[in-house]
Amino acid sequence: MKKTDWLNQEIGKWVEGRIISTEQAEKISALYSVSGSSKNTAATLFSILGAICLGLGVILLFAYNWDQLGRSIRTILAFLPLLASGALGYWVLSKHANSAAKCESIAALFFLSIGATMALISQTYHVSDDYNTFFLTWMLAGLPLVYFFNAGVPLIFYLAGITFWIGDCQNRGGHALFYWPLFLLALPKVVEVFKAQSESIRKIWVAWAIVMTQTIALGVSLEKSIPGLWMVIYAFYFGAIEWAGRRFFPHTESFWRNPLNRFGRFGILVLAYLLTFDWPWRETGFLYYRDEGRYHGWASAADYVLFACFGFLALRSWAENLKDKQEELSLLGFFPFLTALIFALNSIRSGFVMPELLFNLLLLAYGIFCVTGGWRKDSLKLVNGGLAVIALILVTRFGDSSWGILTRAFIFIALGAGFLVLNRAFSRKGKKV
Amino acid sequence: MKLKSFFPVYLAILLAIPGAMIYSHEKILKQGEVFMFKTRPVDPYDLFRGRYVVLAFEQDSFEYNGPEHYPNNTVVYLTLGRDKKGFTKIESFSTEKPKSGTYLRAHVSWHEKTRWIYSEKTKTSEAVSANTVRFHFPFSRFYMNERKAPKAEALYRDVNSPDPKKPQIVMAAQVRVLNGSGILENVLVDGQPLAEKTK
Repeated sequence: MKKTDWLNQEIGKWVEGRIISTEQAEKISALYSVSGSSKNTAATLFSILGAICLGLGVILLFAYNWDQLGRSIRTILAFLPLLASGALGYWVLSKHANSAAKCESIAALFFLSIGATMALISQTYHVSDDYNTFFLTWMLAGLPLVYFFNAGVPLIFYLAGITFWIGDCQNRGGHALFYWPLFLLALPKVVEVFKAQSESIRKIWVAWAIVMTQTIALGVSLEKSIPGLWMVIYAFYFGAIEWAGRRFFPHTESFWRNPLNRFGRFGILVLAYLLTFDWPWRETGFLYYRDEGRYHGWASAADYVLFACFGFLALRSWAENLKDKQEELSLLGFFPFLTALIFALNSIRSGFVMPELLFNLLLLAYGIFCVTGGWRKDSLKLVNGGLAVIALILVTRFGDSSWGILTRAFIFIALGAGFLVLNRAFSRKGKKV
Repeated sequence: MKLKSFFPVYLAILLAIPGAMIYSHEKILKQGEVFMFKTRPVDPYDLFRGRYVVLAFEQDSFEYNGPEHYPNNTVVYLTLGRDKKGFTKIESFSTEKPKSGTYLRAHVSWHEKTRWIYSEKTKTSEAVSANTVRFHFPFSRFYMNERKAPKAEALYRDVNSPDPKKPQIVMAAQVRVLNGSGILENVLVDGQPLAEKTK
């Protein structure tokens, strides 16, 4: 037996015997890096997959519609998944509250059982509501599971469910901004998972669920009464999750292990790239404020709150990078504020600044800064990243028919000359060294 | 007190929600008045609840004389009556609950002010003034067995083909109505349950 596996087993016994608390167990695990012992992680993964397949199977079994069974038998059957998973849930909470595999799998099964029961009752009584009401009821009924179990899967189901719900809600002309109160209901659990010392598989999954669902939910839920404000809020949002990545995953920068951090940085770059086009800037700003039809002035309050909250966190992210003397990150972290500034200037009068041209120049400057920084620090990753940004801008603009052929020709010649001058400068510096 | 001590309470609430749903539906099914709505089925699929036929109703609108405009999704109360053949007809509607008669709570799906009619003569569509309020009923899905639902649609399509030699059938949704709520009890084909016709 590996030493780490042995220690992991012992820690489990200490927790069950109440010699140490769960928090202390996590701290010891983090110290000896045993929290994610591969055997345990695999067991947890398979138990979750098993429970999810079982739950989905029950849903499909009910969806077949056994009309020969009659209403009363089907009504009794509808309660079976709930009762069974309720009993299992009680057993797990009483006897195995610290077993990740049991908590995750039973909580997942329970969450799906709620859906199965609701589906069978709806089917039996021909309830004609659509996915909208069905999903909202399901998610609210399943929300307490997020807190009862020491598990991440119910939280992931909940986050995915409310995101699906607002998508459907928006489609039907409803108010998708209700996503935020629903998200706030789960926020204490999100914070609890993120505050755990070890970078466990649960923490990583929840982080992935957050970035995947919230990036979609943000776009859907914004009221957009001020056209174009979305770009500033998104820029701040990416800055905020970059900060969260560094705050809650301080020991890793790996893409898979720290999605918040990587997604934040990548998101800023993708957004900046989108803003090099003309279309996001058309008819944007305060002058085009809209408060009629499907736009509601009162609902825009959520946009301004998000603007302020994400703006504050993005500012923190930028300040911390600046303090740590992370040059490339400080520059990247400044992009959201440049976006806000350019948006504000463009709002004064359309065409007052040429925002798409500014973003082309900014991204190009960022690419060059990364290449030169990488060259200085001997970091191939940074050089390649910078070159990728420059190449993307050049290829996009070369084929961009909205800019005249002659304009593009002169810009490319000027850029080519610029790069040659840079090359000359770096060659001389190299010789001196 | 630890959070897990509330788990039995949560479980009880969780069981009470579907219990209450079942109780209210059973009450309407037992005490509600029966109304027959002429209908046409289409067969779609719900990821969680299986196959169902969407029911489109023939009596889903009202020719309105008043000046008000009813925006989409306005809650209205329909006073229900029956025609000579016993099928449901909407006698009146209001945004206020009626004090007498059997009524059904529904939503306005569309207040039609202009109707476009294609003219064979001019080969163009012409706008004609209209004042028709269309409604969305709280029952539009009839869940069926996976194999039977497509048969239900095919049955209606085959029998209602333009070929006059084929027999014409009447499909009707049997709905129980009580205190404004309506529950679909069955769909009948010439008086016989659809599930039996599609065996």
